[in-house]
Amino acid sequence: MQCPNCEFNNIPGQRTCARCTSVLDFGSIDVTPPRAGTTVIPLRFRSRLEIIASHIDYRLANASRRLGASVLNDVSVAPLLRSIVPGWAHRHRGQRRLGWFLTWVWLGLMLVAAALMGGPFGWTAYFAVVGWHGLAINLILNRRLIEMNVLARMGTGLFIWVCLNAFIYLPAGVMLQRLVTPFQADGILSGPLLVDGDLLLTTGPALRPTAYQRGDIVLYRVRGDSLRAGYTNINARDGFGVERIIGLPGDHIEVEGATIKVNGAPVSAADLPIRPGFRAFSCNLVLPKGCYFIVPSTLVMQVYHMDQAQTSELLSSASQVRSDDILGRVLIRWRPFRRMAVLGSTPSPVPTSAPSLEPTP
Amino acid sequence: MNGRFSRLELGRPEAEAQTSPTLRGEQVRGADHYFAEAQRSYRRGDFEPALQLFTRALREDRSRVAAWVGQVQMLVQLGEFAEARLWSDKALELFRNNGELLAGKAQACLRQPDSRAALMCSDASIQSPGSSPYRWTVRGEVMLATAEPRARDCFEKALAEQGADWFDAIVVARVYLFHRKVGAAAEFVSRATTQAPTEPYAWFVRAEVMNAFGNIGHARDACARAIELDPKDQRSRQLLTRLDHTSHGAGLFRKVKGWFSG
Repeated sequence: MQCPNCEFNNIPGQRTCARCTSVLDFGSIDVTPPRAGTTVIPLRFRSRLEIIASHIDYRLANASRRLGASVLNDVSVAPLLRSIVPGWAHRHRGQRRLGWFLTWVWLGLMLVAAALMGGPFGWTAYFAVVGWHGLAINLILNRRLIEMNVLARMGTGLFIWVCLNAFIYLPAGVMLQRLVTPFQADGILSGPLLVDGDLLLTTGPALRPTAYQRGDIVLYRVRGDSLRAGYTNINARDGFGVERIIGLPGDHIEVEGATIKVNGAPVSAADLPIRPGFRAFSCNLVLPKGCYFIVPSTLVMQVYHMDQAQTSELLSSASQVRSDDILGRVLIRWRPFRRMAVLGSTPSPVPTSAPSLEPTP
Repeated sequence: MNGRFSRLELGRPEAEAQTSPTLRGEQVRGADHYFAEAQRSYRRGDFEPALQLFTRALREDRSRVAAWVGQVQMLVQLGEFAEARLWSDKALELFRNNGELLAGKAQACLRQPDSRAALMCSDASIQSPGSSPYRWTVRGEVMLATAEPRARDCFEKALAEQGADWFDAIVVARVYLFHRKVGAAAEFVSRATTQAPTEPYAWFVRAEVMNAFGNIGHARDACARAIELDPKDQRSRQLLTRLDHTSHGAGLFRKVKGWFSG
């Protein structure tokens, strides 16, 4: 048996060459080479993806021919599809260092943009992220761009920028907002937990819980029209409030001056409203289904000639917040960075000590 | 007696004959046929079909080292360097220290880029018994990538090897083109077209090199010549269309760039 590698004549039946140790028995060896992507995606998915990619490629080629555009002619779509992550196409092409550089810088810019979101430099960081992504795609199209004149090149750059915004970043932003929504605390009385101007991250519509717990800090909507109902001497406006949930649906709430009792037991210090003090009022009610008890911290209103009983009645109705009006649970106090903290719920099922609250002057 | 031995599995020649490909009207094609077809595809610059044909040849005969080398070369030409490296590793497990496979691995490593591994593999490739244009081409490429001045000597040695022809000059030109040394690429591609003036692929590569060099007129001429030799050559037609859309400014810019890229 002759070795195919060194042509040494081995004894028949040997599995490896006696001289070069090459394999002589090739019975079950797979001879299909790996192709790009098979190491990550199983072959059957890859073939389907290739079919879809070739289909898109064909459609794009047809469309570009029909439109007479010269931009997408002969440009392979696969690297462009890989450009969804800057640097991926470069790594796939073999430019490993450049690819990783592009990816890491992009990730860094994304982190910066996330950190600055909602602030004055948020949009700058966003444009930097999109710009970097566009640069990565331009590097993929480098050869094609060199062949173009300046105007066509500028047009291509603009087209890439618009496509990135329209198909990647804006949809991603909308989806992200459904998960986590930033909220700038505005017009809220400052306290140890929350200062006017803080940027909070709250749960978005997709993560909104079906039921809240006692002690949850929530973002809720204040409806001016429901406050105005029945009163002629009030001018209340719509707004948003950030407060802690004191009572759950079905709870018996007693408020007498600065003392709050839930089901007969005084509320513990941890479950008190986050506002340092609140206007003293008195009420005694059982929360209806779908209503939470939240002591209002943000009521923008003008009141004319209102007595104590009317004030109590108004605050009592304002404290009952319907679950539809609760927009989400506050997760993180994001900015300022030195005060960044997770604002979790602190439920205390058995209140132990009576709070001593000073009424707001 | 009949009943007793009727169920013995002694082989049924009539059944085998019915299922044999020749009787079904199919042409029997062996590893030699597929390998020759693969080589032909490679020399036409059709790397994807060549890879498939090399694989078919290996299905017929797994001990054909040249087909394993061909697969690695095709993966490199298709730009799948990580896969080429992986595949050359697998092939080297089967054929220890095979010089051609080591050269293939060196090229894959170099283009990944992992110059250190490429240099080691190339050293081993040169030291292993035998010699070939491919080994010296890869050696030259390694030298070129590591900015060694002897790269050209290696390429010249590759072309001086026994069995080297116009296609090896094309391979060298494509190596230079990959590393953006357009001037040197133009020189080697000219040699190829002089040696084989009837090969459309040589003219196509010449057109590519001239295009990269910024010499749009010469690129168009080369494309036209390739199409004249093979009217079905879609690649050359596409390149010609692209060249027709190239502005003078872009051509000038490439020409200036070509002067500096050597």
